[in-house]
Amino acid sequence: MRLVLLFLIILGYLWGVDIYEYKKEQKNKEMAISLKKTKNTNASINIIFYKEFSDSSILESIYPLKLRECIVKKICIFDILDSTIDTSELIRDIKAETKGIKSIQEYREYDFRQL
Amino acid sequence: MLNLKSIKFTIFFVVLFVLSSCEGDALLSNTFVDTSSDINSSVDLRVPHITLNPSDSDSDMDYIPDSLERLQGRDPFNPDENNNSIKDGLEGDPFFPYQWYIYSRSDDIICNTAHIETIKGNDLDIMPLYHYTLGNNNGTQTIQVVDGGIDKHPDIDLDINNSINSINNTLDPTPTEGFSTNPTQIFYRGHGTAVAGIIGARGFNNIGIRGIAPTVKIAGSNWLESEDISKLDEVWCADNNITISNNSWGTKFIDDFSYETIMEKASNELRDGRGRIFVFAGGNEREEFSNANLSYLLNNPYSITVSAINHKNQYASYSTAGSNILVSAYGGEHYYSAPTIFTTFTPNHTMSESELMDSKGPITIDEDTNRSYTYAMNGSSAAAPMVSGALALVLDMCPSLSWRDIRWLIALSSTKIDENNSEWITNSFSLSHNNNYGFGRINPLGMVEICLSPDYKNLPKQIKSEITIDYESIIPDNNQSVEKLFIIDRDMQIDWVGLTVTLDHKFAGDIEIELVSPSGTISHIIDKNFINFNAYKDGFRFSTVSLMGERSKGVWRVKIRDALLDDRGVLKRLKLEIRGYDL
Repeated sequence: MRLVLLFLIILGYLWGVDIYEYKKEQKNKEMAISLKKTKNTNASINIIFYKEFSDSSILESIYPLKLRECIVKKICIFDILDSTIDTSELIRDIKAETKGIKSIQEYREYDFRQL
Repeated sequence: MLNLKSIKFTIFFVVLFVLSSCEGDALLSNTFVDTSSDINSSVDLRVPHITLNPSDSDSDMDYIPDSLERLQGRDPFNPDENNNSIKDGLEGDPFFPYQWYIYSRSDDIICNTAHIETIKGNDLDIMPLYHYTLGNNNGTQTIQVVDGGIDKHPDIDLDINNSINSINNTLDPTPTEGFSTNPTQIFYRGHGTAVAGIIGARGFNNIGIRGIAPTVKIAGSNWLESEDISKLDEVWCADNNITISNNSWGTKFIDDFSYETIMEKASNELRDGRGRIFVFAGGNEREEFSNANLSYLLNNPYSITVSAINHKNQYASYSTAGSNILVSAYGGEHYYSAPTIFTTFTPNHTMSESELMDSKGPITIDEDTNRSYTYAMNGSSAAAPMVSGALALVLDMCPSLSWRDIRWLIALSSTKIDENNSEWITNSFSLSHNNNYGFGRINPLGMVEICLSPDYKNLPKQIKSEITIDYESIIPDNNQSVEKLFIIDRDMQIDWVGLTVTLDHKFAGDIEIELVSPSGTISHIIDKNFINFNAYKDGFRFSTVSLMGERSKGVWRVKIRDALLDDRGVLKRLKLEIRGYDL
């Protein structure tokens, strides 16, 4: 019994070593998010509202944003007009100061693959 | 030369030696114990099963409904009109014997270059359902295939009016030029056509194969060529007679709510509020330490996420697991190692022997003289359309089912496979779930038995309950757990549970999370994985379907463990979101 246990533990440990090494190998590789290269050089953010969004003027008047488009009236992509601004800080500010936002993050285009 | 690994190894064996001199029970005392088996499992399911009577619509029991036989000028009382001892319903598609996933009638069907035989009886068990569904609506149902486009194929009934080309904004879903037909490429041309054939290749037309739902039309989409989210609205949300959207694509990690926001609209508004059904491939990255719960495409409340099994009714070597996997279907292994999926391919374009990359062998049979079929199809990409086709058969019989009814019927009726697998859990609603298989192999006949029952009622309106708690808790490194509690007052029957974890950790993939329901069922939300960055720092939403049917009221526990050395993390916030309906 003890030998079986020992064997299983060694196996488990070796597996753990495998993923540990795998993880370290991955350390300097690109992030796991598969992003698509975009022609758009502007930084953009993606805001998802709980309810349908109709008026972008208030957000545009407070923040350096320009509405690019909305999808199903809830997912709105805004271009950031000020290229010097810290996007993470801007996202934090908007989220803290604006009601009705489900999610806000830097806009990304993904590279999907057939499975 | 000593390195970190060898030091670790030495320390480990010293510790191991000390431990091995202790009593075995003491060593095991820290092992996590699954308490779900202690739960009272005598809860009755809401809906009794009924037995269908095949003579209702298929008098000669030849797997072709009477109505379809009359349409074809055949005798509905003669099961074998050409007297060759084969039921007529098994004829009409010359390559049908290779479709073991529909009907594995013998052990000697070879459709792989390793010459591995299929196993009699290991199939989707849908032939009995053909008694009722074939020709029932005579092709009025349309299934959408969102992919890199669909070729015009003589064996596929394309619904051109509901197809869409996201590159040139036409109704022609043919892939644009430049796609490779080489299946080793990330994008290859025949993929969408192969998916479409599994769902709905035309049956009884004396050519090729038949789809799982052989009377449906296919609406093609080449959205994957553009990947432009602003064009996904018109693909997923167009108000037409598309009932099911099949999506055999994805990515390993995505934390963007945009896709499910579009799905939410389609689920709530289309089909007069019953919603479009979204079926997704669960992923092929098991060997890359991936998990289907790392994708918002797959772990949202709307997606039916499908894992792949092989001809032995075991999870395929590549199939990604996760607590959000709802169901499984055949994806086969690799065509050069074990049985795979015979289906349609870009016409006149199946790679012949002379075009093969290496010694893996041909990818179609000699009888396929036009090179328009293949048995090289595999993956969760192949498993998902099997579920889409199966659901089309169910919707033919029970068209009033909503997207949530469909999810429930899947959970209630799926066939438990690989029963000795240790990851099966039985929840307090008596449903068995396994992160490798979901609730089991798709069982459309079982679904129809339930939905045709006079006692079956559509689910009541979905409601939500959620709670968020902030923390500043250090998660100790290397296998020590932090446990947090939630108390939910509202009592509802659970459809879906989301758990958003905000956690600062340089390597988020080190983190393992378990969710324990009030009745004690443990759902393994995430295992250590490939994620090599601080992926949960802004909050990452995981989910589980394994608690479907359980009651929400009571104390919920979240256990978080850093399973690998180095890189300690801090838990910042947890949000528990429960969707279900009032009892």
